[in-house]
Amino acid sequence: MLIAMYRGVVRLFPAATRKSYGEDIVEAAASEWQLRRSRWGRWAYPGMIWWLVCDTAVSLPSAHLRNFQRVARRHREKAWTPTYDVNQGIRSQGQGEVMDWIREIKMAVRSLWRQRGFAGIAIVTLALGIGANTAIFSVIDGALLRPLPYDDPDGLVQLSDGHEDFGGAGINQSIPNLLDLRAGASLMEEAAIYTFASGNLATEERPERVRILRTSHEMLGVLGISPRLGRDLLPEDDISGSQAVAILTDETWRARFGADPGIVGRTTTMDMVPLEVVGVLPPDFSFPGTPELIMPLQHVGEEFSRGSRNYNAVGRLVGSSDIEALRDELEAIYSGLVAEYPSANEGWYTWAVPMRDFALPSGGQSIYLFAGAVALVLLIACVNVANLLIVRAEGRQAEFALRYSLGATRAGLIPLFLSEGLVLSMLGGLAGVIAARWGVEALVATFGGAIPRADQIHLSGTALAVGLATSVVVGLAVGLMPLLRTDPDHVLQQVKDGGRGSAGRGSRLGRGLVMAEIILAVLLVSGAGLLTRSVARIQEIELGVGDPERVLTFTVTLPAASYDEPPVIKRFHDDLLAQLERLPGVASVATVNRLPLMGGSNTTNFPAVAYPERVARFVSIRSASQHYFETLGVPLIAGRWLTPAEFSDEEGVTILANQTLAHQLFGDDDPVGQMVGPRWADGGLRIVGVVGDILGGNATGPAPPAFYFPASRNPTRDFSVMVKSTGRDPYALLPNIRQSIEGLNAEVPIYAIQTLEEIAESRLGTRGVAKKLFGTFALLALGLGAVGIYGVMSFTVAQRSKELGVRLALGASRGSVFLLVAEHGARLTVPGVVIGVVLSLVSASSPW
Amino acid sequence: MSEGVVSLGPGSLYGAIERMTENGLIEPAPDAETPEGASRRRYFQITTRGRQTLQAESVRLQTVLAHVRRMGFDT
Repeated sequence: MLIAMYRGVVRLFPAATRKSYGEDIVEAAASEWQLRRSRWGRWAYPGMIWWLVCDTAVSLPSAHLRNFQRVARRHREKAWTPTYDVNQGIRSQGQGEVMDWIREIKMAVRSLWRQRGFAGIAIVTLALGIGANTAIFSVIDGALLRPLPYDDPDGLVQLSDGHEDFGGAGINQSIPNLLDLRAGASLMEEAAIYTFASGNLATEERPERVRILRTSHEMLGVLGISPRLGRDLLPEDDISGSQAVAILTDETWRARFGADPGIVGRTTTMDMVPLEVVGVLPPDFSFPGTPELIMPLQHVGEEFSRGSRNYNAVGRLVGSSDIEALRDELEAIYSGLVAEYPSANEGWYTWAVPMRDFALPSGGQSIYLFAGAVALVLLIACVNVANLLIVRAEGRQAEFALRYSLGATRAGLIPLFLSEGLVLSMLGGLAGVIAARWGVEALVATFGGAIPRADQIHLSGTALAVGLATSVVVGLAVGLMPLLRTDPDHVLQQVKDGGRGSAGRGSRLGRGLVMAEIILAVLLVSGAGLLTRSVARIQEIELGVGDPERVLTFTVTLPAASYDEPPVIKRFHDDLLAQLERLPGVASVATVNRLPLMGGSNTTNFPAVAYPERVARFVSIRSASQHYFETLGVPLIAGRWLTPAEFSDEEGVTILANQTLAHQLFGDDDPVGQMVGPRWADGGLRIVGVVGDILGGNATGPAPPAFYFPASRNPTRDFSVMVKSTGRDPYALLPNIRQSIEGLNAEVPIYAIQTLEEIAESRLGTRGVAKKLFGTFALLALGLGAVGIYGVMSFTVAQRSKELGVRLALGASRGSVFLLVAEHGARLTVPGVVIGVVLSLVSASSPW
Repeated sequence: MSEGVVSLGPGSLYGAIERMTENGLIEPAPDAETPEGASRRRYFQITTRGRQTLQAESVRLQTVLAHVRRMGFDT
């Protein structure tokens, strides 16, 4: 009877224990009862009952606890959360942590696939941020961070002269001074003297205007570079009058000579003088100024003025010498040169800077500004995705509650969230890095010459590694954010309340993050707006020329060897104008010494003969052909045009003045017929007419004073041509133009081909570039901000879905419910917009 | 086995057996046979892990004992 009753008690044990040991437990109890009965008879009952009660009181809960832990362990293993066996550190058997993570990632992928819309938005958002950052890092890496492509670049120095009256250091030097410095400096093992020049190079297709680095033979040795084909310059190449030789850059060899493998030893011409190609540089060669080929300086045997400062030098320090010590040594030598040659060197000093400072000037600073803007975009993207994941986590409270009840810990949820965050960020990073390739090309094309070493910027391995690292960091950051909403007490309370609840800690975080987004977006939009207004204001200023989009311009430089006399030069001018005027599609043609809308012109001081106290300063000198004003559409304001006879008269004294010059010299008096007397014009010049102003190179400044005289009086070998097209596309005239010039002289190239409109746009400088980029970033920030607001509003609606449902059930209209939600949205966005506007106003008015 | 020193109730006994089996300290003995006429019995044998655990526990207890003796208690 007792054992039968005990058998009923054993049924209280967990099923697993019953199955394995149930009969054994009952039999053990029966054996003990038999023993006790045999010893104490019916007096064994109390002892036996007490013994079974005590044993059951301990073993039954213990068995149930073991069973619960066994089940929890099985559930934990199934949920792939890292876990330890309940028995003090003996790890649960199974698959190990790596497989746990792989299963987590597979589950994350399946889960995200089920919500493809959400995942798509998150991936695109992250792709934008990560891709933009990878692209801008590529630019920074290629332009500024990469070491200079020379052997031991830290040992290279750039020498210069300096004078306090001329802006300090950084001025060119003279060859005699450089030769003396080079000979006397013991801390410099070698130095090369160089200068830049341009010339007309005969290539495969046609002559091209090229930029030449003219240097003493030591240059490549100082830089530590060897030609990939052919030879370096030799000492005998430096001798004046020796055979002209050249080493081509890799790009020149490929672009202009078709990568001819037999280029070494081939002869071409430079300015119609025979030139032998003796070598080709390696593809990664670069030098400040971007030369297209190297030619010897040919200075040996020539006389150079010690005061003629047109040259520079690159030197290599001896061993681990300090540049400060070199500066001291050079200064000591230069002091002797100042004493010995006071007329050339009085007031001057010498200076040395690391080559890196010379090769990578401050133009790179603007890149860092845009890097900052791009980093902001990534921050906004991360905030958005974190918000979206928080919203998603809100909808899984029941799942988390079940996990907690089965023994999971909060830390055990980390792999779950991290997997989702990493999957999103790695996919977004992959898409972003692919897009970054085009982003780099767009940045280089947009920034153009503002970026040093622009020709060597590409999506590098380092940039890819940075993109990958960014993806991992972003994944960790956004993945862990939802963990804030998974506090066990909060989760269980949420489930108990049926999803009702006040907006808790996570909601406040989400609101705060989105407000920060809105502030950032407003800042970027206002920055873009300021730039747009600035650019628009510049564009509104009247250029002074008509139909700039229909006027094609180019520059010609006649080789001195064939065009050394003014009559010869003038004949070329006249023949060229005649040829081009006959071309179909040409409305008019003109030549001028310097194109309109460009800065940096010849200038002179202009006194008025009748009013000697009135002197116009920095007056632009323009020598133009007959149809100049017709081609540009410049109006006549007063007086008359120059006649054809005056254009042919090489000794004439009549000129046209622009409005600014006339006003500066004569105020409201009539300038027509007045004489002006620049020092170089014996007898003065007579103003016969006043023409409209044309703006100069300063984007926001007024038109400079200018006067015009016939080009026939002073024909120049360097001049520009303007061809006005009857059609809308002036570039269509280019093939015929080239043919006309080749017909006159096949050795003469044309270069700097652009329309007047393109010249006008280039006057905007980096402002135009900045406007485009800031505008793009502002649009991005707005779009991302909208996604962020959507995320938080989704969260809010999800939180209040039961409340809203109750309201609707009680008779509230859909409109009033909508207004309720919209009011919440407004409370979210309005403060952010206000703060953003205030910050924008403050930053706009600051000197920065 | 303990000569009556350790007396476990059936629930506690098989709870300990269940626990030790799950932790790999003992395992069912495959070759044992129930003697004729005796009630069904199950035999277990200690595993290598069990021996190591027993050895470790023995060392631990001896260490505690030695410490007590050093404190001047006669054991």
